[in-house]
Amino acid sequence: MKRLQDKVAIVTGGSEGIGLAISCRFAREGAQVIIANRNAANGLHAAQTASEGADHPARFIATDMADPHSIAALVAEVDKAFGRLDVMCINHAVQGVDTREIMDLSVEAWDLAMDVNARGVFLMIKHGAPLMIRSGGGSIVTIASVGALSRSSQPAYAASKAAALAVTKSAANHLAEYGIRANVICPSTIETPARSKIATKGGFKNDVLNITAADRTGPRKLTHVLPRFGKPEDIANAALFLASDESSYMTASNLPVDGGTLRHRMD
Amino acid sequence: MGRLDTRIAIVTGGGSGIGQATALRFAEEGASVMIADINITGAAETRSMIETRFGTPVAIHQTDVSQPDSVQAMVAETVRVLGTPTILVNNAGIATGDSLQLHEVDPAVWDRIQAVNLRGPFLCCKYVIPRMMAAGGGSIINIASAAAVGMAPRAAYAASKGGVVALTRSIAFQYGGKNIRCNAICPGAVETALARQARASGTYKVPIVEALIQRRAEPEEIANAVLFLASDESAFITSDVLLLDGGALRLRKEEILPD
Repeated sequence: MKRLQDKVAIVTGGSEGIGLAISCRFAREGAQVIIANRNAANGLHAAQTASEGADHPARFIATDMADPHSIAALVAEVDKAFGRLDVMCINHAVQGVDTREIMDLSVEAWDLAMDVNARGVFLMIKHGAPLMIRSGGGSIVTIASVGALSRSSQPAYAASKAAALAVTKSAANHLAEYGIRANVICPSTIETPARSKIATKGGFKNDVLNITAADRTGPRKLTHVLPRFGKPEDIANAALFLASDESSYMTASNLPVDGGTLRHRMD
Repeated sequence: MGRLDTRIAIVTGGGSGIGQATALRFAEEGASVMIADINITGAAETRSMIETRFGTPVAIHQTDVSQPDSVQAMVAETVRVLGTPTILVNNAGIATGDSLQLHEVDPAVWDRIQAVNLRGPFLCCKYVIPRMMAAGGGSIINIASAAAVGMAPRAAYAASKGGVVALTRSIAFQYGGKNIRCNAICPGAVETALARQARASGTYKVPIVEALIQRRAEPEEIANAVLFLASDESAFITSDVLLLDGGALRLRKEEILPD
């Protein structure tokens, strides 16, 4: 018996990086995966990748996480195709909007981070929860960030992720009576294509990914205690744990996957 | 293919409750398990359950985790019978004699609770970590309590578990570079012998917390989280304090405190 056998699972932002790793992990554990993101070429390719060796072919549904109508349409389409929803892994995010100095951060950049990263989580829960309730319960897993817990140098990103964390925990209150659990994962620096691209453009001036390869060999340069950076698979494994019945007594909890951060954090 | 194939694990307090469920879950996933418990009858019971259900390598040892000699003997026995341990679950714990009124706590009761709940994990880590370093790494899981991170009704127990959380973070810091991970789990109300004992003694007449999931956890639900933290699926997780409390909301202060 696979750990998500025949569960219907939406993975938002499921086409690359952490999201792709989650889509693949869920699919290989028997889930019917729906990859929801904006870019059709990426999404279709990801669905193909996630389908390899899986019981059910993964599907792609084009969705704009900044658009309430698009999110409602995503859930309606899942309802029409499968008639149920067991897992929502809310992973999508925009990053790299922040500038080095908060004084230079534009209102538009702030709004974009909040619209996609914070409001997008609210809308997914708002529209997805009723279908989950009709399915007899389920599990919501939101991918936030350690930036939500510590003194992040990215104000818009950190604030949006703190909101994602708070709205998920709050939803746990409202949804417990329907057998729906809601938990959060807070990853630290994970090596993904999106981050590498931003780092190459010099987007994160204070970020560990900007240090040279030679610097990385010194463990003191890392912002965490384990001697490597995180991989998308690390987050996917944690998401599998929270999505599956193995975490059946866990709700409104936060699971940092950060290699043991050296930053002070509040939780 | 088990998730802990070829692994050797020590589970303290493995003779009952969360420890027993953990030992069974580990064996189910292919691990060799040392069940260390001061109650040798309980340890033997877990061993026979493992032998019957899974037939995986298993050993038992009568261990008082508060005593260095006893812990050293247990670790040596593990190495001799099963091999080098790379998983340690510090689960043994007591709350015996703790009171809802600090001024009534006998200093000897306080000392015994700290000795088992906090000195015990210290000693087990002290004697197991060198073995883990020699093996290239390992995973330590400390069973703390929701009492360590929230409002706690019993002070001696809460203080000991708060110490376990701090110990967890310090070990994670010290040995992360050696590929030794250390995490804590903070269970809320779990249906164990300890809990039944507390109810029977009249200490608590009602559940002490209101939780979103309106029931006590089964030991197996905690064991699944221990398995996750023991396995390579949590390879990038260290220094975490995992709250497994069913979404606890608040203590029932009026109903459990004396007038």
